Amino acid sequence: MKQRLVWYVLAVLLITALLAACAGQPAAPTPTPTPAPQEKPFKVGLLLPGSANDQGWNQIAYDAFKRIEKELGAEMSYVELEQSPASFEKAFRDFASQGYQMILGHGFEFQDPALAVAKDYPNTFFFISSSRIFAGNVIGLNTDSSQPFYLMGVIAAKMGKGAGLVGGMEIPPISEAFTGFINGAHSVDPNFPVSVTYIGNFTDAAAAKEAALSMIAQGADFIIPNADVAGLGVYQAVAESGPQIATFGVFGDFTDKAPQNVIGNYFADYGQGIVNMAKAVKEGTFKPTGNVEFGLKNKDVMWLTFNDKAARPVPEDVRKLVEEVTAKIAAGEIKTLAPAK
Amino acid sequence: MNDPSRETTMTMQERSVARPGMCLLPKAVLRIAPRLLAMISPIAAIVLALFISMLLLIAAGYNPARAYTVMWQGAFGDLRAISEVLIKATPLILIGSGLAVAFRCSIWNIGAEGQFYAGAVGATIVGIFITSLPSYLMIPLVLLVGTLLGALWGMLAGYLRVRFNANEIVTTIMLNYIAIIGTGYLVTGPLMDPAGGKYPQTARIVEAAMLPRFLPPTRLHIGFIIALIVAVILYLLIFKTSIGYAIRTVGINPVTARYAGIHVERHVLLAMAISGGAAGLAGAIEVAGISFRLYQQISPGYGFEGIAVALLANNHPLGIILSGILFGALRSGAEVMQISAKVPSVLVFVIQGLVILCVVAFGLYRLHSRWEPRPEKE
Repeated sequence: MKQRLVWYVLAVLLITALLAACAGQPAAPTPTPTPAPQEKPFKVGLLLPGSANDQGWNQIAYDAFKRIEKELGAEMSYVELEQSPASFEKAFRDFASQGYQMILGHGFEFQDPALAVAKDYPNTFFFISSSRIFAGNVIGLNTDSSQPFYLMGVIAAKMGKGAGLVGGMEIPPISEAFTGFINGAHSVDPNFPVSVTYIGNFTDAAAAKEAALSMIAQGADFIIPNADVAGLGVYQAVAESGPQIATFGVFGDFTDKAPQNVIGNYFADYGQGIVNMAKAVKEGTFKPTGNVEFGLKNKDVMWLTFNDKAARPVPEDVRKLVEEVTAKIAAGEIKTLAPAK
Repeated sequence: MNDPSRETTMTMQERSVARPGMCLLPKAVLRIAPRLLAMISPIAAIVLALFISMLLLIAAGYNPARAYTVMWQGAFGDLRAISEVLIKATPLILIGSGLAVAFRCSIWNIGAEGQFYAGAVGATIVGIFITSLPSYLMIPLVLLVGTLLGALWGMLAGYLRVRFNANEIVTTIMLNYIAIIGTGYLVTGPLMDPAGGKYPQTARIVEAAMLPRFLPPTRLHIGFIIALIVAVILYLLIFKTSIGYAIRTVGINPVTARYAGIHVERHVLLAMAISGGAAGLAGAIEVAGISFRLYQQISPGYGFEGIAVALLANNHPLGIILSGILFGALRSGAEVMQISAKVPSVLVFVIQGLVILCVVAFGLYRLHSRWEPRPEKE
């Protein structure tokens, strides 16, 4: 009895609420169309495959877009899409149809959806992260890690007896970097021994450490990781094996992980690359003729530093050579990605 | 005294006497009212959820009217928006109505996500490697293989349940991981696109395997129609056939079912096969209708959302069509809410979660209130 009464009361309440909601809708302050602005606002949109504050891949792009918003006075909007291919195409269209001039799909998986939408919006640039695609206004952005690794290879062959590379998984960004290293080392000494290992993931620091230790045991004195978090194991192994073993910080400053051994650090700032693109699009100077490959020529996107406090700092003549090689790579005279022997 | 129908009539009369005001309502209304309320309650749940979300939006400094307007327009603003909602609803309807069969059998299949992946893998393999068939053969084949693989993946858990009495909640969750990580292995290894840049994705399926789109320029494909048909078929199966009756009986009381001569194990397996098959079909349709190739992750959690879709509709396949569309609209509208109203996705997820929570809470309340006033206890 009581139950039924409760339901009636509830029903009446809800119906009133519904009616109120319906009646309230038109009265709600709908966004008034902004009076024609003096200047067309620069609008940038970002499609993320994950959470914007993941302290990793997605945050790089998110932070870059926040900078674009601040530094270029752009109107910025982003959408987190999880891993939902069904949503990608729609999100591109949602942005493009609202007049966004630049849209970034943060991952190669956005290629197909961007292609499907882009032809309907010729005045919008569709950028795709870690992609080498190029089709009119769909432009892949990629950081070419083979270039800095080429430099490391040159340094290793100049300073050491043998090198070991510890990779996470055998995926293009990693294996291409290693190809660059091998090419660099062999440009100095064609017989310089380089061994390569993939531990199969990006998290197992213990496995990376084991791999590094066994390489050192086999006579390598120059060990470089490219395995994200697992790379920390390599720095441990190197630090424990004595000051004669050298290494490089990869994608950041790792000097404090092995102060004696880290002879330099390689920094990459993909976010800066994104900001540069936005700048070019905003100023109307962006005239794409191919996909965009960030390399050593983009000094604010990719650079090396040296650690003078290391046990074996990089000698002056080698630094000079590195500078020359850098110039040649930047000028496109050296192909760091040539198939390695 | 033990005749329940007599009891009901008696209480009915008592009520009319006790509350004269109620006499104004005809008895038919009294009888229909609870049912009506049962149907209204999901809507009430949604309204309540949106109301709470409104407070949250205000607290977070957003204009809820604008957010909801944008959300509504994003979901139903024009033909394209509506079609996108239906596209998102397609896997949810399929998975949800499949799960309804399992849930009706009291089999808690949490593995629709894995079964979805199994179907997607099957469809992709057929779509890549069989290149010479015309599309009127190719499309059925792709969908069939996807369905079969999903069904097999589901039956694996079903078999473990009937053979070893392994808890299907645990096994289906575990099988999810195997399917998802297995897919990751396939697209980074044996099935990786031989052309183009070594991305962890398969090649595109052949043109003949792609589902036709029937409402250009939108992307709405025949997968949605298939989902509707499947939901209707499963409705008929559950409520209008002896198999469905047996499945429901097993679900309510397996001991009684066995006593009545129903082969319990066979129907558990069947329920798992149907619900796995529906999820597998959803995976196949997602590949053949939308993504055209397989990625490491192809589902944003359809398999889990499908559970909520089924529960919201009280495991009724026809209701699942509506709740599937609702969840599709929530998802679609939420994306536009991020883009246009700039409501951060965390808030959007909270809103989606609130809807599910309210729906479940209302459902529980309804069950509770229906069961509590038993005549025997008075």
